[in-house]
Amino acid sequence: MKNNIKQNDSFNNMDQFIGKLQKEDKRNLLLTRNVQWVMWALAVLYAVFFIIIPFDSNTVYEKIGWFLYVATFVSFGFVFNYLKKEYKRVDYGLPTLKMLENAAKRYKLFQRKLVLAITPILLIDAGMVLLTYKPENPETLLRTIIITQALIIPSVGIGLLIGIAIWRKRQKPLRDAALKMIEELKK
Amino acid sequence: MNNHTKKEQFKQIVDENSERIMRICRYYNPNVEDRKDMYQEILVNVWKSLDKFRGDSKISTWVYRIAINTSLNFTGKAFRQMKLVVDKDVQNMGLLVDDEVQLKQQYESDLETLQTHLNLLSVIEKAMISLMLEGLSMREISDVIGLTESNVRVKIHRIKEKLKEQILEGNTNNSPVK
Repeated sequence: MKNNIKQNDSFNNMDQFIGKLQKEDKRNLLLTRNVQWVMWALAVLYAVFFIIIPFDSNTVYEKIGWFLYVATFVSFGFVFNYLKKEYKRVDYGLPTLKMLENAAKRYKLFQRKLVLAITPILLIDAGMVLLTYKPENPETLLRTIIITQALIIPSVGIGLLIGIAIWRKRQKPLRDAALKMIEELKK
Repeated sequence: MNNHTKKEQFKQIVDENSERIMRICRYYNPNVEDRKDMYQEILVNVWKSLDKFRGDSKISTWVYRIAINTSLNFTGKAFRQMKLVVDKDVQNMGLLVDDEVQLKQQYESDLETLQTHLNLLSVIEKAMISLMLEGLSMREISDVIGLTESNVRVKIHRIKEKLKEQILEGNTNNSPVK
């Protein structure tokens, strides 16, 4: 937020400064709302595919596949909402020790919320398998599963590696500093 | 909290506490531009945290918490460069020593030496010293930091002892050989 507020004139006019803060709040709110809308819109789009495909023995896999896509984007929406709320919970008005403990927790690499992020990945994985699988050739099931995993696993792996690299550069030093200060305070 | 109420409350907090915030920024930044930068960051964090303020502590304590927490984050970006700056205008400088008059006078007269020793302290120690220089009681410091009052008392006592030892050691090393 700080970078978007021009420094020099900020304190000559408090109303102007507050105006900038409010504008920034609105911008952030709009940005997160837009991302969420995209998730809901994709969920609706796939729900349409799910609904228009007639339900019979030939299309059952496809139907379940579209349904899993809907579930993927709904769960992405919820994960995003959860992360947004967590970000908003950051409170500088807490006692220092508590704030440092929260920061150390927030900047941990492997957290319980990672399980939340895995859910949509598993759903889209299963959805892709079912949508590409041809039930008239049941022998292709194993091949379909392997091809899908060959696409998903490297993508997730690359994403994970990029995430770890970003964490090492940005969050790890903050977590290390927070842990060091906590240790000193508790000594 | 609606936008208008938040704006009014924010303005009131800044009006009543700007001097306080300025002083904290001054302790940490010899450079005027850095001070402004930190002051601005503190105000941004006051704004961000205002919705969560439930009145459990005094407004001044809450503002000190935000200022100290921001300074820890702020200085985290340039951890090694962080300096605690004191000058002769700091009113509570005498609190750094408990009773030794001579040492107290030396602290006040030789700011440069004091400055050097203060900057050898850790980030947390510097934060505590800045609150002490603000004239906060042990109870208030414990509210800001989140430790028990007795714990704060022990820590501050240790910091004072450390400073005293370093200053005395410096004196011994600098005294002429007879």
